[in-house]
Amino acid sequence: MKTLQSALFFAIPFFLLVRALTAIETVLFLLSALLHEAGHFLVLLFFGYRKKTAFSLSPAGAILAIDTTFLPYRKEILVYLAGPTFNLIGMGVTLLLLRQTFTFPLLYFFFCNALLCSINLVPIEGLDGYQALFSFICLFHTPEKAKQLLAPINALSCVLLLVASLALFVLEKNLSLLLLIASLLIEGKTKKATKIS
Amino acid sequence: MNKHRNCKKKRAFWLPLLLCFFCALALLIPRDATSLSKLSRRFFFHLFQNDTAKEVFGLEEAEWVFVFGNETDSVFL
Repeated sequence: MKTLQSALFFAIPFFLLVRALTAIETVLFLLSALLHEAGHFLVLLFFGYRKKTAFSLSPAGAILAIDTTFLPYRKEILVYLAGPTFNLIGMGVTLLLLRQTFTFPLLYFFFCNALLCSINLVPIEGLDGYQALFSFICLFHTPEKAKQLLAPINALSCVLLLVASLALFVLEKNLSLLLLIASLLIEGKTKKATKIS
Repeated sequence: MNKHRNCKKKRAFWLPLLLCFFCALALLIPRDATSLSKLSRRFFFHLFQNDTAKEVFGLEEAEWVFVFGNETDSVFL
Protein backbone atom coordinates (compact mmCIF):
# COMPACT_ATOMS: atom_id res chain seq x y z
CA MET A 1 0.00 0.00 0.00
CA LYS A 2 2.79 2.37 0.95
CA THR A 3 4.57 1.62 -2.32
CA LEU A 4 1.36 2.27 -4.24
CA GLN A 5 0.89 5.60 -2.47
CA SER A 6 4.47 6.64 -3.21
CA ALA A 7 4.08 5.61 -6.85
CA LEU A 8 0.88 7.68 -7.15
CA PHE A 9 2.51 10.68 -5.51
CA PHE A 10 5.09 10.63 -8.25
CA ALA A 11 2.72 9.68 -11.05
CA ILE A 12 0.06 12.36 -10.51
CA PRO A 13 2.30 15.47 -10.44
CA PHE A 14 4.26 13.92 -13.29
CA PHE A 15 1.04 13.49 -15.27
CA LEU A 16 0.05 17.09 -14.45
CA LEU A 17 3.38 18.35 -15.70
CA VAL A 18 3.53 16.42 -18.93
CA ARG A 19 -0.14 16.21 -19.98
CA ALA A 20 0.06 19.60 -21.72
CA LEU A 21 3.17 18.53 -23.64
CA THR A 22 3.33 16.93 -27.04
CA ALA A 23 4.91 13.47 -27.37
CA ILE A 24 8.23 14.95 -28.52
CA GLU A 25 8.30 17.39 -25.58
CA THR A 26 7.62 14.55 -23.11
CA VAL A 27 10.42 12.49 -24.66
CA LEU A 28 12.80 15.46 -24.43
CA PHE A 29 11.90 16.02 -20.77
CA LEU A 30 12.53 12.35 -20.00
CA LEU A 31 15.76 12.42 -22.01
CA SER A 32 17.14 15.28 -19.92
CA ALA A 33 16.17 13.33 -16.76
CA LEU A 34 17.93 10.24 -18.16
CA LEU A 35 21.00 12.31 -18.99
CA HIS A 36 21.09 13.50 -15.37
CA GLU A 37 20.86 9.97 -13.97
CA ALA A 38 23.37 8.66 -16.51
CA GLY A 39 25.84 11.18 -15.10
CA HIS A 40 25.45 9.77 -11.58
CA PHE A 41 25.53 6.18 -12.77
CA LEU A 42 28.60 6.48 -15.02
CA VAL A 43 30.64 8.09 -12.25
CA LEU A 44 29.45 5.35 -9.86
CA LEU A 45 30.54 2.69 -12.38
CA PHE A 46 33.88 4.48 -12.68
CA PHE A 47 34.28 4.18 -8.90
CA GLY A 48 33.56 0.45 -9.04
CA TYR A 49 29.82 0.24 -8.25
CA ARG A 50 28.56 -3.14 -9.51
CA LYS A 51 25.26 -3.73 -7.64
CA LYS A 52 21.72 -3.86 -9.06
CA THR A 53 20.08 -0.44 -9.20
CA ALA A 54 16.40 0.52 -8.96
CA PHE A 55 15.39 3.30 -11.34
CA SER A 56 12.11 5.23 -11.16
CA LEU A 57 10.67 8.43 -12.59
CA SER A 58 9.54 11.40 -10.54
CA PRO A 59 8.13 14.83 -11.47
CA ALA A 60 11.52 16.29 -10.59
CA GLY A 61 13.31 13.99 -13.02
CA ALA A 62 14.23 10.49 -11.99
CA ILE A 63 15.51 8.58 -8.99
CA LEU A 64 18.32 6.05 -8.75
CA ALA A 65 18.12 4.06 -5.53
CA ILE A 66 21.79 3.54 -4.76
CA ASP A 67 23.75 2.85 -1.62
CA THR A 68 26.73 5.19 -1.70
CA THR A 69 28.00 4.29 1.77
CA PHE A 70 30.85 2.26 0.24
CA LEU A 71 32.36 5.48 -1.15
CA PRO A 72 34.58 7.94 0.71
CA TYR A 73 33.07 11.43 1.06
CA ARG A 74 35.34 12.95 -1.61
CA LYS A 75 34.12 10.50 -4.25
CA GLU A 76 30.54 10.84 -3.04
CA ILE A 77 30.67 14.58 -3.77
CA LEU A 78 31.74 13.80 -7.36
CA VAL A 79 28.91 11.27 -7.76
CA TYR A 80 26.30 13.81 -6.59
CA LEU A 81 27.64 16.60 -8.79
CA ALA A 82 27.89 14.35 -11.88
CA GLY A 83 24.13 14.57 -12.63
CA PRO A 84 23.95 18.39 -12.84
CA THR A 85 27.30 18.38 -14.71
CA PHE A 86 25.84 16.07 -17.38
CA ASN A 87 22.87 18.44 -17.69
CA LEU A 88 25.34 21.30 -18.18
CA ILE A 89 27.09 19.29 -20.91
CA GLY A 90 23.66 18.64 -22.47
CA MET A 91 23.01 22.41 -22.39
CA GLY A 92 26.36 23.10 -24.08
CA VAL A 93 25.76 20.57 -26.87
CA THR A 94 22.20 21.87 -27.37
CA LEU A 95 23.52 25.43 -27.54
CA LEU A 96 25.91 24.42 -30.32
CA LEU A 97 23.05 22.72 -32.19
CA LEU A 98 20.82 25.76 -31.63
CA ARG A 99 23.42 27.95 -33.27
CA GLN A 100 23.16 25.71 -36.35
CA THR A 101 19.37 25.28 -36.39
CA PHE A 102 17.12 27.27 -34.09
CA THR A 103 14.04 25.14 -33.36
CA PHE A 104 11.65 24.98 -30.43
CA PRO A 105 12.29 21.29 -29.50
CA LEU A 106 16.02 22.05 -29.12
CA LEU A 107 15.26 25.18 -27.13
CA TYR A 108 12.91 23.16 -24.92
CA PHE A 109 15.57 20.48 -24.35
CA PHE A 110 17.98 23.26 -23.33
CA PHE A 111 15.32 24.57 -20.90
CA CYS A 112 14.66 21.10 -19.37
CA ASN A 113 18.39 20.56 -18.79
CA ALA A 114 18.76 24.02 -17.26
CA LEU A 115 15.74 23.43 -15.01
CA LEU A 116 16.90 19.99 -13.82
CA CYS A 117 20.45 21.20 -13.25
CA SER A 118 19.46 24.30 -11.28
CA ILE A 119 16.71 22.66 -9.19
CA ASN A 120 18.93 19.70 -8.31
CA LEU A 121 21.69 22.00 -7.12
CA VAL A 122 19.40 23.70 -4.57
CA PRO A 123 20.47 22.58 -1.06
CA ILE A 124 17.16 20.91 -0.10
CA GLU A 125 17.34 17.52 1.59
CA GLY A 126 17.17 14.72 -0.98
CA LEU A 127 18.53 16.83 -3.84
CA ASP A 128 22.08 16.66 -5.23
CA GLY A 129 23.04 20.12 -3.96
CA TYR A 130 22.23 19.17 -0.36
CA GLN A 131 23.88 15.74 -0.61
CA ALA A 132 27.08 17.17 -2.12
CA LEU A 133 27.21 19.88 0.55
CA PHE A 134 26.51 17.27 3.24
CA SER A 135 29.38 15.06 2.02
CA PHE A 136 31.64 18.11 1.81
CA ILE A 137 30.92 19.15 5.43
CA CYS A 138 31.41 15.52 6.50
CA LEU A 139 35.04 15.85 5.37
CA PHE A 140 35.58 18.13 8.40
CA HIS A 141 32.76 17.28 10.84
CA THR A 142 30.65 14.31 11.96
CA PRO A 143 27.48 13.51 9.92
CA GLU A 144 25.32 14.64 12.88
CA LYS A 145 27.07 18.00 13.00
CA ALA A 146 26.79 18.31 9.20
CA LYS A 147 23.04 17.71 9.40
CA GLN A 148 22.77 20.33 12.14
CA LEU A 149 24.69 22.88 10.10
CA LEU A 150 22.61 22.23 7.00
CA ALA A 151 19.20 22.41 8.73
CA PRO A 152 18.80 26.22 8.46
CA ILE A 153 20.13 26.22 4.87
CA ASN A 154 17.63 23.50 3.99
CA ALA A 155 14.74 25.45 5.54
CA LEU A 156 15.76 28.73 3.87
CA SER A 157 16.08 27.04 0.47
CA CYS A 158 12.61 25.51 0.85
CA VAL A 159 11.11 28.93 1.66
CA LEU A 160 12.93 30.71 -1.20
CA LEU A 161 11.92 28.07 -3.72
CA LEU A 162 8.33 28.20 -2.50
CA VAL A 163 8.28 32.01 -2.82
CA ALA A 164 9.75 31.75 -6.34
CA SER A 165 7.18 29.18 -7.41
CA LEU A 166 4.31 31.22 -5.93
CA ALA A 167 5.62 34.32 -7.71
CA LEU A 168 5.69 32.34 -10.96
CA PHE A 169 2.09 31.30 -10.37
CA VAL A 170 0.94 34.85 -9.63
CA LEU A 171 2.89 36.51 -12.47
CA GLU A 172 2.72 33.83 -15.17
CA LYS A 173 -0.27 31.76 -14.03
CA ASN A 174 1.99 28.69 -14.22
CA LEU A 175 2.02 25.98 -11.56
CA SER A 176 4.89 23.87 -12.97
CA LEU A 177 7.48 24.99 -10.43
CA LEU A 178 5.03 24.70 -7.53
CA LEU A 179 4.29 21.10 -8.58
CA LEU A 180 7.99 20.32 -8.81
CA ILE A 181 8.59 21.71 -5.31
CA ALA A 182 5.55 19.94 -3.85
CA SER A 183 6.67 16.61 -5.29
CA LEU A 184 10.22 17.16 -4.07
CA LEU A 185 8.99 17.86 -0.53
CA ILE A 186 6.71 14.81 -0.56
CA GLU A 187 9.54 12.74 -1.99
CA GLY A 188 11.80 13.90 0.85
CA LYS A 189 9.17 12.94 3.44
CA THR A 190 8.18 9.58 1.99
CA LYS A 191 11.50 8.21 0.78
CA LYS A 192 13.93 7.46 3.54
CA ALA A 193 16.21 5.13 1.60
CA THR A 194 19.58 6.32 0.38
CA LYS A 195 19.08 7.71 -3.09
CA ILE A 196 20.32 10.06 -5.73
CA SER A 197 17.70 12.24 -7.42
CA MET B 1 7.13 2.41 21.49
CA ASN B 2 3.81 4.30 21.78
CA LYS B 3 5.41 7.44 20.45
CA HIS B 4 6.61 5.53 17.39
CA ARG B 5 3.11 4.11 16.79
CA ASN B 6 1.54 7.59 16.99
CA CYS B 7 3.94 8.88 14.37
CA LYS B 8 2.98 6.07 12.02
CA LYS B 9 -0.74 6.80 12.50
CA LYS B 10 -0.27 10.49 11.77
CA ARG B 11 1.65 9.75 8.58
CA ALA B 12 -0.95 7.26 7.36
CA PHE B 13 -3.60 9.94 7.88
CA TRP B 14 -1.84 12.66 5.89
CA LEU B 15 -0.68 10.65 2.89
CA PRO B 16 -4.16 9.84 1.47
CA LEU B 17 -5.16 13.49 2.03
CA LEU B 18 -2.21 14.69 -0.03
CA LEU B 19 -3.08 12.12 -2.65
CA CYS B 20 -6.65 13.49 -2.83
CA PHE B 21 -5.20 16.99 -3.13
CA PHE B 22 -3.15 15.97 -6.17
CA CYS B 23 -6.15 14.18 -7.71
CA ALA B 24 -8.22 17.35 -7.28
CA LEU B 25 -5.41 19.35 -8.89
CA ALA B 26 -5.34 16.91 -11.79
CA LEU B 27 -9.05 17.43 -12.38
CA LEU B 28 -9.32 21.16 -11.76
CA ILE B 29 -6.16 22.75 -13.15
CA PRO B 30 -6.24 23.74 -16.81
CA ARG B 31 -3.59 22.14 -19.03
CA ASP B 32 -1.76 25.37 -19.79
CA ALA B 33 -1.16 26.10 -16.10
CA THR B 34 1.10 23.08 -15.67
CA SER B 35 2.79 23.12 -19.05
CA LEU B 36 6.57 23.12 -18.86
CA SER B 37 6.57 23.73 -22.58
CA LYS B 38 4.55 26.94 -22.25
CA LEU B 39 6.72 28.05 -19.33
CA SER B 40 9.78 27.44 -21.52
CA ARG B 41 8.30 29.46 -24.40
CA ARG B 42 7.41 32.37 -22.14
CA PHE B 43 10.82 32.29 -20.46
CA PHE B 44 12.73 32.42 -23.75
CA PHE B 45 10.31 34.90 -25.26
CA HIS B 46 11.18 37.35 -22.48
CA LEU B 47 14.88 36.40 -22.52
CA PHE B 48 15.24 37.10 -26.23
CA GLN B 49 14.03 40.66 -25.82
CA ASN B 50 17.64 41.11 -24.74
CA ASP B 51 20.15 41.29 -27.63
CA THR B 52 22.93 39.51 -25.64
CA ALA B 53 20.76 36.40 -25.35
CA LYS B 54 20.19 36.50 -29.12
CA GLU B 55 23.96 36.65 -29.68
CA VAL B 56 24.63 33.70 -27.31
CA PHE B 57 22.13 31.56 -29.23
CA GLY B 58 23.39 32.91 -32.56
CA LEU B 59 19.86 33.96 -33.30
CA GLU B 60 18.57 35.82 -36.36
CA GLU B 61 15.50 38.02 -35.97
CA ALA B 62 13.65 35.91 -38.57
CA GLU B 63 14.39 32.68 -36.63
CA TRP B 64 13.04 34.22 -33.44
CA VAL B 65 9.83 35.22 -35.19
CA PHE B 66 9.61 31.71 -36.70
CA VAL B 67 9.75 30.03 -33.27
CA PHE B 68 7.88 32.56 -31.13
CA GLY B 69 5.66 34.40 -33.59
CA ASN B 70 5.23 38.17 -33.61
CA GLU B 71 5.32 40.25 -30.45
CA THR B 72 1.62 40.86 -30.92
CA ASP B 73 0.98 37.10 -30.69
CA SER B 74 -1.40 36.83 -27.74
CA VAL B 75 -0.23 33.29 -26.84
CA PHE B 76 3.00 34.52 -25.27
CA LEU B 77 2.01 37.91 -23.95
